[in-house]
Amino acid sequence: MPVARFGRKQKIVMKNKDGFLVPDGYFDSLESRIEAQIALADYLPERESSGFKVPDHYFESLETRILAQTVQVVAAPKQIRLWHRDWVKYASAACFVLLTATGLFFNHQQTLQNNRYAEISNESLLYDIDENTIMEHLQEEQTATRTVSDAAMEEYLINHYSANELTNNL
Amino acid sequence: MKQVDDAEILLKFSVEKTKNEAFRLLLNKYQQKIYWHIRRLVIDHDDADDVVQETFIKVWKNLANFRSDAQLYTWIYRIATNESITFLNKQKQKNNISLDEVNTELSDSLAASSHFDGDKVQRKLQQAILSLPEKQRIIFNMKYFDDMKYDEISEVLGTSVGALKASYHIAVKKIESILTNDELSY
Repeated sequence: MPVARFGRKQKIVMKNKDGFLVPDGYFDSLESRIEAQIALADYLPERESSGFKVPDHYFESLETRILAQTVQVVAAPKQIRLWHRDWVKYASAACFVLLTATGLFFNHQQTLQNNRYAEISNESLLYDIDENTIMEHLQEEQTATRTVSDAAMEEYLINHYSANELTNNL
Repeated sequence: MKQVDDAEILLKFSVEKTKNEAFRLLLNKYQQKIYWHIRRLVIDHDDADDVVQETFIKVWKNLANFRSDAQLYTWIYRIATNESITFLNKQKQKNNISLDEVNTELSDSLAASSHFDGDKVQRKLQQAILSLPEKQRIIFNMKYFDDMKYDEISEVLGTSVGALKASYHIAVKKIESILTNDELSY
């Protein structure tokens, strides 16, 4: 009997008489397979029941619950929030930094200017005062710093000069 | 409500005015089938309730992108199967146990469940099914309980028809062995 290959592993025995093809060993296992089905049929109950049960009206409520999560869900309109856009956040941060830096810069400039004005005004004040008056004031200050008590002077002399030196200089 | 053709559902869904009506028709047509498919995988009614809702919410969100190269029915089934597997994997991770231990927990849940009033044979069968590896269990359920064709199951699971047939055959043999040997105690 001619043999032909069918598929990767099955070998077919071709029947010359009818031309039909069957896998190799088909009839060998057929009997055991039919017997298994018969044995199962003896044991098995109706296929529909299979022993499981459901609560009363389960399928009516199941349909309602599924529809509530599908067809009855109204899609919310898509909201695009301004602050969720990245470029808005970055632009806001940049503006804040720029404004702060500008403020600090101008504040510093103002302080410098104020200090300059103060110096100028002090100088101008001096221009308004007579020179002789300024000289007298300076001399008085020097004199004031030189004034010491007699007791302090005496102590200084005793500590820094010997008796002979003091006697000779008197 | 009269059940409508999938093509009509898809056509109505593509039009904004009839979109909601189309989804209601789809729910009416498939919710029970999908619920039972999920229920047989996750066992517990409350868990199945959560998973089935998640499934149909995903269907609602993605139906506009559905391409007609697959059947609508198998597409919904695929979502339901994936959601169920995701749920079972979460159980596994949450409890830090293997998938076999998940099946043991499901079997215990079945034994204790107030939402299972099957007789002795039905309980025995469900426990036998739970002893199967996850994929085999899914294939068995879809073939035996949902009476799906192999090419439909292939669309759902992305597995070849040949592999599905082999897997189903092995599952049947295992279940037969368990039922005939009376290995399970309950």
